[in-house]
Amino acid sequence: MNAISDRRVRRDPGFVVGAALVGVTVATVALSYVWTPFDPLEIDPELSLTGPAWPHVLGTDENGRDILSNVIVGARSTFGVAVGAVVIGMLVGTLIGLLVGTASARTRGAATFAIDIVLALPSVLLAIVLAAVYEPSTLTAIVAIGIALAAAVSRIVARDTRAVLTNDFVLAARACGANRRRIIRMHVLPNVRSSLFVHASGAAAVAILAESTLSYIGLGTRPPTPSWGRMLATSQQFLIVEPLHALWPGIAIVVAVLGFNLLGDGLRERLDPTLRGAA
Amino acid sequence: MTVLLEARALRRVHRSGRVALDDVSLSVGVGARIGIVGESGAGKSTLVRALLGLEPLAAGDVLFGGTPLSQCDTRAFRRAVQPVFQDPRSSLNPRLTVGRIVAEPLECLGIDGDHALRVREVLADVALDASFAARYPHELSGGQRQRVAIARALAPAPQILVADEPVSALDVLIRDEIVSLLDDLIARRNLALVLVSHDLSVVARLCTEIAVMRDGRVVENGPIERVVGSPVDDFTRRIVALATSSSR
Amino acid sequence: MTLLEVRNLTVRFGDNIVVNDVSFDVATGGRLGIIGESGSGKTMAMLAVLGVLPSGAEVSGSIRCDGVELVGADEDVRRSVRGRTIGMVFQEPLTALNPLMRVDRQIGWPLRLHHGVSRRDADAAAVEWCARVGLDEPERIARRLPHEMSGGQRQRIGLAIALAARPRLLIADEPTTALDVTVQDDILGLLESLVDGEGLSLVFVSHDLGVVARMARDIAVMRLGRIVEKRPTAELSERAADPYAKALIESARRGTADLRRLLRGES
Repeated sequence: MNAISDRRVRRDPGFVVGAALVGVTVATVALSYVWTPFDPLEIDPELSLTGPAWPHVLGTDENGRDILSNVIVGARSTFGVAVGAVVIGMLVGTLIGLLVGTASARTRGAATFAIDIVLALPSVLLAIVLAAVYEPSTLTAIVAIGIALAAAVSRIVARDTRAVLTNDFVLAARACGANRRRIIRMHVLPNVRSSLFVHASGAAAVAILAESTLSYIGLGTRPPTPSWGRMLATSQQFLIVEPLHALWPGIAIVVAVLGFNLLGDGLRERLDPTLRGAA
Repeated sequence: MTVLLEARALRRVHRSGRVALDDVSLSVGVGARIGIVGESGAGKSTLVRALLGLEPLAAGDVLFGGTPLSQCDTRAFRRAVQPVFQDPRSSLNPRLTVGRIVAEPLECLGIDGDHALRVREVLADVALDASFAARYPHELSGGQRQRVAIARALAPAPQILVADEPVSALDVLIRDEIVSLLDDLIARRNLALVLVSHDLSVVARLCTEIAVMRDGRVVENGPIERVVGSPVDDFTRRIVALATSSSR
Repeated sequence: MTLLEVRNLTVRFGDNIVVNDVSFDVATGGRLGIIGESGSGKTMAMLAVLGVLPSGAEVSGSIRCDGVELVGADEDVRRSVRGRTIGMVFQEPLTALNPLMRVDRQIGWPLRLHHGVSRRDADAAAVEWCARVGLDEPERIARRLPHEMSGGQRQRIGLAIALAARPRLLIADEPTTALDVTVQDDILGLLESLVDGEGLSLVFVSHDLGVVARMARDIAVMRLGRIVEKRPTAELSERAADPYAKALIESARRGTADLRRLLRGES
């Protein structure tokens, strides 16, 4: 029966598209440090709420600020928060996941319960709590989203870890007296490593969306620093006058999130069959 | 006869309440060759793990050199008792080279000497060229992978090999090769062998004693000629009859 | 009368040829055994006969079942053959059964599909089949789900499903390999009585020479996609010419000899 699953892995266009979209997002962040059509913070009251026209290609907001420039620079805060949150989420989550996965059944039960509680809290709620204690800022957003991601990642990594532990080579290692640290280092991590990239991509997509949400409700990046989420929120007020203004930050968010999701899916396609086929 | 490893009245109960081992005793002396047979769920693999000191026991003890495992020199025990598992796919870490896989017991147990040299030695013992040390498991055939697993077990110069269905997952002709290899190695190094198998003909080839397990208990044991030739227990009788009837 | 006629069957996935120029016949009431190891192509050949190969497979040659050519035939033609003329039992009962469907519904399905039987009648027939394949308390089991049963029970259900629509040919691909020795014996006995009772033709595929020899009157040995030896079972051990086939026979013989020696009390 094992010879049957000899399917040919089809070229996945999703991976390429995802990589391209992520590339565009990253390039935009890079671009923002080098050049923007206008200073995103520069106010021009006379040009308030104009539609797409030269030289303001996407128009101006209610303060006369160039929308395109704000979208470009807005990538920075979104990306910055996302990267920060993903780093926290992946590092903390992976560490906890590895420890929980290799723990005794009772410890696992207690730990999973605790993680589930954290998971049940949306990052928005965590951000509100943090914002209430400290001032809402980019940092509180990063920490809040990071914690939420860590909880999710730890569950997946714990599950992946347990899957690796069922293999006989782990039993053989234990029969040689390998301690927990060695088993994690030599046996679990190398076999879990490639799926971490997949988890990170998914986490990035979630983080971007979460940051946009937080900015939208005013708990993220403080004005006047440009942020896609906040742009979405303010453009709502002026929908009747300039409906197009809501489109641009929205598209930016979709591009970034979609890009990471496709990238993650594509990575999983490429990495999983190899892992299974390596048997 | 010096007893190297002994299981006394082992009892293992799962959290679900299922009894995996019930009053199981086994004695492995120098040069012993014990076969353990039984159906799936009989407790054979659980017994293997218990003999390796990797199974939590509700009652009973495993003794190495007369000392319970909890009190003996763990390193000495682990050097002396090494496993060979069934599935060539899951018994080797796909991310490590053959060389590192075989060297693992040497590293973990802090064994002195030139590890690379020892790895080459044991690879040669299992008829694998030194060049295999740089390869990865997925590049090898099932038979070759099983040879690597045996080499890994031999690396720390053990006294007892505990093999859990070492040839069941292999093609029939390769099976014969590996059985011959085991036979030869065990004889040359005067190793004791505990072999778990559902295939009675493999046990017949390699073992001098046999223990028949069913539902976590040993229902019959003794010298293999006696147990196979004149089985006392009904279950044993049926297994023997089935094994000898499938003929060409 | 030849029920199944396979000529020059070749199955390839791109450059990878898994079945290479294979030919064999199964007469009505015939019993063919196919022996091979993993990678021999034996399972792929059977999937080709049933027309259920994985995507990407290219098939050439001829497969004639009851006179009807199956290679290159429409899916409708192949579907009418599957289940109605040819039934198949697989190795792993857990994955071959639908975990979400009740046993009686799974057994009744071929009946409803091929013979337009009503649901009520199909359910009743399913219970009969459960009894026929030796399941205790057939009415109760019929209403169960597959995962609630043992491997042996599931394999009996697999047989019932394969035979429900009363096919003329049964293909059994390693049906007992995943089972314990004692259960194996029971299932093989059941298979023998069903084949005799229903007047079926049988193709029995396995890597175990002893089992195949018990079930088949003719044996084909496959290796790397080819048939390397084809003989009546009775003649196989004396007349085998191919070195691989001879090695297999010798291996089986040695295994039994080791045991027999013990029985005679020699060490």
